[in-house]
Amino acid sequence: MLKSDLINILVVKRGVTQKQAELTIETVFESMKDALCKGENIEIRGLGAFHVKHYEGYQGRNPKTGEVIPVRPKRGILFRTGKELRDRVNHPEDDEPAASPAQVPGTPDGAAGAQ
Amino acid sequence: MTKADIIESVYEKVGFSKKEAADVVEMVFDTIKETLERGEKIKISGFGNFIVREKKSRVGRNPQTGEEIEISARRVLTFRPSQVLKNALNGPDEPLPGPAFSPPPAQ
Repeated sequence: MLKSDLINILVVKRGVTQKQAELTIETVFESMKDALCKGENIEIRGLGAFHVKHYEGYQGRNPKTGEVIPVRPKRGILFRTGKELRDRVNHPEDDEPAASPAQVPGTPDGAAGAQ
Repeated sequence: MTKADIIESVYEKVGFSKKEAADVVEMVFDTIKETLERGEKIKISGFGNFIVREKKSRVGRNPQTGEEIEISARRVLTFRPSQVLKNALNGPDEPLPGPAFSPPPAQ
C-alpha cells in the first residue's frame, strides 16, 4: 500500500476532496518527520513508537587499505511496534477460514424447517 | 509527539473541524494497521516502509537461567526509514569532527 492508496481511501470512505486527502496524508507524515528531526520521539497508541537514537562518531578503518577514516556521529530511528499491532500482525483474527464454519451445526433439513 | 499533535497539525493545515481532523487521522492509522495485519507492506515515500517479516522458529535462551527455549515462528513488523528521512535527520552541514575542525576540549 502506497501513500496514494491511503489518499484514495480517505476520499472514498470519508468523502473528503482529493486535495484535502493529499494535504492530510502529506501533513501527517511531514509533521512526524519534523518531530523526529527535532529529536522528538513519537508515540502512536496502538501502532508503535519511534525513537531517535544518537550514535557516537568513531575512528573507522578502510578494511582494504587500513586507512583511518573518521565516522561522524549520526542519528537513526528505532521503531518499536505497539502491543496491539504486534499481536494483530502475529495472530490475524481471521487467519484460518476453517475456524469460523458457516451455520452447519445440525442437518441441512433442520435449517430448512425453520420457516 | 502523540496522535493529538498530528491531529492538531492536520486541523491547522487542512481546514477540517477538530472532529473531522481527528476522525481522518484515526482512519489513516486504522487503515495502516489493517493493512499490516493482512501481511501487506506500507510504503510512504519520503518517510519509510513498514514491512511484515516472517520469522522462522529458532532456539533462544533465557538470559537469567541459561535455559534453552524454542522461540516460535512469528510475524513481526519492521520499519525502515527512507533515505530522505535519514538524511533529514542528519543535517548535511554538520562539520566532520576531524583534526581540522575539532574544537578545543572544554577545560
